Amino acid sequence: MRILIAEDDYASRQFLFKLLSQYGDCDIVVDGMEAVEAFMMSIRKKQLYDLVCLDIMMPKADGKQVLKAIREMEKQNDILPQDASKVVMISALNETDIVFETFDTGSEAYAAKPLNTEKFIKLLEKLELI
Amino acid sequence: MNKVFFDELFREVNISAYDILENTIDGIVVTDTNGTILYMNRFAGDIAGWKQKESVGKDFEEVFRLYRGNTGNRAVNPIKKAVETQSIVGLEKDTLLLTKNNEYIYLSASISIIRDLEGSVKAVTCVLRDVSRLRKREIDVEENERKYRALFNNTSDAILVTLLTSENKPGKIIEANETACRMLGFSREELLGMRISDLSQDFVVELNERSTDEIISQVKATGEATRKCEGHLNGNSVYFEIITQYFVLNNQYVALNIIHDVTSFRLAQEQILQAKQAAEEANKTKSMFLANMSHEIRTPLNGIIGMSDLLLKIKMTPEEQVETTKTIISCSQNLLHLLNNILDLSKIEAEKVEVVNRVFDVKEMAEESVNMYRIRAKEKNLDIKANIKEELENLWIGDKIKIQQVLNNLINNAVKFTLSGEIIVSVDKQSDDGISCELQFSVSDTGIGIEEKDLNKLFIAFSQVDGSYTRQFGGTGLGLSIAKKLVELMGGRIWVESKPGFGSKFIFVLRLKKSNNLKAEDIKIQNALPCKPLVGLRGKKVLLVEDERINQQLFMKIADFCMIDVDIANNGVEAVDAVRHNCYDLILMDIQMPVMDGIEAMKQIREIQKTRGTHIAIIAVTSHALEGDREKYLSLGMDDYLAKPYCVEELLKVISCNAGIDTDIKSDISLSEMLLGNVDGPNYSKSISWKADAAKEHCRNLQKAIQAKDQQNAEKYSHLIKEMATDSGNIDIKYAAFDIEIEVRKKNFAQAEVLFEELVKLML
Repeated sequence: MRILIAEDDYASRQFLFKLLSQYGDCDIVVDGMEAVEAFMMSIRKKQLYDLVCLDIMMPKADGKQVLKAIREMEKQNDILPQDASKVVMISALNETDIVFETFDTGSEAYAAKPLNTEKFIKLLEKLELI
Repeated sequence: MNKVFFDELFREVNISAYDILENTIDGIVVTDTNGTILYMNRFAGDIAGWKQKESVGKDFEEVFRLYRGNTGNRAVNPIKKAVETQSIVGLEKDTLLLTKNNEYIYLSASISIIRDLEGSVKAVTCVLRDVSRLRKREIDVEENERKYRALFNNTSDAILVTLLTSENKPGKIIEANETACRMLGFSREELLGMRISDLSQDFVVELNERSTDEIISQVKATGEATRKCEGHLNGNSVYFEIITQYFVLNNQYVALNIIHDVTSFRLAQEQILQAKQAAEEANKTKSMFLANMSHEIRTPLNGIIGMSDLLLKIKMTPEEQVETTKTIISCSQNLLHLLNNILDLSKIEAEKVEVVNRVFDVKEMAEESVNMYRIRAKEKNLDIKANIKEELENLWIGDKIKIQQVLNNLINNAVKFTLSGEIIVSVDKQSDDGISCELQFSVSDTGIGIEEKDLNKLFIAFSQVDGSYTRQFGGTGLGLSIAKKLVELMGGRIWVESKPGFGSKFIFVLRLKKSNNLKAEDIKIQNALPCKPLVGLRGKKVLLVEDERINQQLFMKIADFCMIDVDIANNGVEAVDAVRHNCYDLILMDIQMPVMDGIEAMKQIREIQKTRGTHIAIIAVTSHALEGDREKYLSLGMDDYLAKPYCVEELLKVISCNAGIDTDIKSDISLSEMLLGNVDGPNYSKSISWKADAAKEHCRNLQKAIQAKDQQNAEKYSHLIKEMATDSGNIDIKYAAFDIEIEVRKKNFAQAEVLFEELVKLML
């Protein structure tokens, strides 16, 4: 499984990297712009990400903007729905309207910080990634 | 009609002149030229209260005592006047007659002379009338008129009565009250004849939707109509409400305009509106603060909870374990820092903070602050310099702790918001009156700078210049507001000068007194305590009085590491008991405990010591960590104080200071390094444009770093190459470099080396 972790907080991305490295190959990016670039690169190389973990508050582009860009790139490159990346939004912003907004933009799941390891793994199982 | 005919007529109807005179309803008096009454008819007698018979032969003035109404003096004798002027004489207005019954009545009279055939004056006739009732009614009318005029003039509202022109347009003013004159600044005479539109260019009347034509047709139908308008005097920002009553007067349409000054009402309304907006703004700020705070707390908690969980569940190499633990400690410290900031701010706002002035060394203080941030600045490749004038070398009196807190805060921000360049901390003398000096502290950076519109947001609590989701720099927005409040508490001022893209300069000015002391007063600061060797602690016997199991376990771990012998008491009673039966080098005393609290236990232990003649150091270890708590516990008899949460270093320092160890060697390096290590993410210089030489240089450095498996530098140089490629539009190179960066982040150096070869090919 190929995973992209987009997270500007050092501790949070190290945690996700350590946790998810057990299940696949993780790429790390530290801001929204890098996330978009990494995703574009994956399309060019035809090595699509199975899972994208997007923090909402990030420099340069926020998680919602990245999510929108990802879905747009998939559409323009004729990526089949079954090959599209599963996107999990992650944020310390614990407000319902933000959660619903991201679902509307096309994310598969939302996880609130502080993350619970068990729950997060269950979430990946539910998304049929592991 | 002649006299003969008259006599004839009277004879025919059998009446005499006497009958006529007696039956005339007005009083008639005939006197001789001297004023002696010759004849007086019945009504004249009735008016004066005299009998006809009695009055005949009396002087006119004796019977008719006349007074001037306005002065009360005797009136001029009208008989004499008539004789003298040989003409018809009337009485002055308001002439009063004092009757025989001593009543005053208003009298009107016409006095004429009767001439004989030769033309000489023979007699005088006087026709009298009691005009009291008429006059009284007149006076009532005048009184009413005066009353209504006073009301009209003294209303708080201005009143203008205008005519309407034949085209139903507002016409000339025909009446104006004094308030109108005062309000509009014209005399009544000036106003009459003017039109409302002539009053002032500033007098603006906003007509409502009903046109004057509509109003007039209503007046025609019902006889009257009213209309409300608003107006204002632009120049003076005076606001009016105008109520106009239309009616018909003397076949003309008349408008009665009542102009009510609503300025104070408007102002009050505006103030209420402003207060409402301020309250809403405050509420919004509060909500934003809560959301922000929640975010700021959850973020480090995510690191703490997640990383601790991984330590439990995932197999890690010892190096990985150290790295993970460092992350947990760093996150916890961030959380503690946040908590301290919130406490600081609430204390300052509750006015619980006092300025404590002591003698201190400004130069030393500033250098201390700069040194504190030297490591962090170096990690970001920033230069940090202290620029302190030599003449500041003498000592000053001030609150060193607070001044340093402000200075540290500013330096911390400067390091945070600067990506490349330098930070200069300087202290200058501004003005000197011999006793005190204005000192200017400034921290300038070459950071991102601040837009002018955002400058005023800086010092407001809970607000951040960039509150968006994409903000690059986190934080609570508390630091600068705390700094501002502290500076103001010390009687100084703080401000900022900034230019976006060029950096910022934060400045604060304080007036401090010079000191003649030769040495700075010893201020007990936790971090100023000397470091003591851990080895010296070996074999020491310590009593830990603590009810929390977790804290007991933490202390046991540390004690094991340092080979300290530890006894544990779960509450104050157990502690006192333990002291009775054992000898300790040191007691660590929690304050809040069940059964018996730490203060009571300390008192009882001191009693025991008195009988033994010894002294054991007792250290208060507590979460009561507000300013002043330390002093409170020391004054109660504690030997020292340690605030929870504490880090291992702090604990060991306090123990060694109080356990009678005085060798002065640096503390255990491996432990302190592990605790103080910085785990911030890598930071990069600002992007630079594509330059072949620089690119080659970066490539060489990247290759070296990959070969040396130096993650930090490999990430840094691949990122620099990526930035240069992005700026110059070399997309292939950009992605090749980015590829390397991503592999390096995973510590996949073998793959990075393969990719590096590809990158070099692209760059050739």
